[in-house]
Amino acid sequence: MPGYMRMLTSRGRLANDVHKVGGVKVPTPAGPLLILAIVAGEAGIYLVAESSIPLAAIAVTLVAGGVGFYDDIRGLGGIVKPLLLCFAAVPLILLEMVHQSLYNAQLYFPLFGGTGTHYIIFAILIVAAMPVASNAFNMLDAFNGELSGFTVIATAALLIAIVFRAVSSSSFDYIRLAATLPLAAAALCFYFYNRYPSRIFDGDSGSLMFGALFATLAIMGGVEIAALVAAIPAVLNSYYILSSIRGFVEHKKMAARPTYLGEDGRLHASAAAGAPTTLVKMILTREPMRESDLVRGILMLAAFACILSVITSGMTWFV
Amino acid sequence: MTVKSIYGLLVIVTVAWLLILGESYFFIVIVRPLGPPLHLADLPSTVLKVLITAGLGILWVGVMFAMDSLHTKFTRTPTSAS
Repeated sequence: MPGYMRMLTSRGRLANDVHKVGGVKVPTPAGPLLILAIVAGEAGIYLVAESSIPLAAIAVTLVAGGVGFYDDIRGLGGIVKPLLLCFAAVPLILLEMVHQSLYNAQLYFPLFGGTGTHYIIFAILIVAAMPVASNAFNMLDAFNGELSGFTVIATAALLIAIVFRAVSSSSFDYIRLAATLPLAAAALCFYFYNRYPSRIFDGDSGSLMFGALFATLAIMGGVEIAALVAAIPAVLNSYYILSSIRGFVEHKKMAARPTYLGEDGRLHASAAAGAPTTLVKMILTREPMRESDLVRGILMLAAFACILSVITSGMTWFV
Repeated sequence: MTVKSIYGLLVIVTVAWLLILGESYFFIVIVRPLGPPLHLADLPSTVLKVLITAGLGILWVGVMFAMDSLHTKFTRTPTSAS
């Protein structure tokens, strides 16, 4: 990572850290390196297990990461980006059609068991899940360590859910568990560089890829509901943003930011007309705070959702 | 940062989770037995199931927006704008 950061800096790939006093510039995007790390990890699992599960993870990583990378370099419109992200579902559905071992086309609910098997409805849900999950993660990527920390915690919940499922079923394929490890490892390593004060930003190539891969691993692990619960903070954040700005608008084109940096060096909730509602703004409405404290609050919320996700997993597979 | 700052959001996340559990119960126990599986069912039964399921989604979103309004009402309004 340090060599990659030096390379980005020497090429002038720097972005303003707008929540710091004094115009701090940070290298970006880390996405390509994260994509490379995850693809290498999944490729290693494929070489050992020769399963189509890591292949699907690689394909989704490349498609979603590719869309994000194009957005980092050239920029994509507010509507075009979610539409392109739908294509991240294509390799998953195609590989399932060929191998029929990638996922079960049914949802398992806590306490009440599974639905029937519906291939077409499930495929439609997968296509919808990709832009929803990717954008939900992307919209949470506003402060130092916010998204990387959230991804670590949410992926931990995902791992626990898959372990619970594996323990409760004698026929469970442990490759599904192994395929989740590269995402957890990449997010954890990246967090140490991205946490406050950030030394590198992930860019859309990182955040969109994290979201799409998280959804893919949840689908292949058959733990969609537990994953949804773990991702509640990100889902709520994106719902509040979309409803307050009434549609898909690229964040660079928003009329106002949800927060602003005060002269006291603390972040404040903006009361400007057109400023979107976000979880961060909801926290800051109570009291202004430093960026590091704010991100700690978001990560505490993520940890709470992680606990609820573990309870949901227990209710799904052991009750 | 005081933990108090995220109390409201913890309540919202808990309500979101409880709604997921409650709506799961409603979907499995009430909606699912309304007719045969979708690929075997006649049109009215299919439409009814899809509409009720969509209604559950809309209810979840509606409650979350109501929670946002309540959160705004019970927290201090910012005194300055950028």
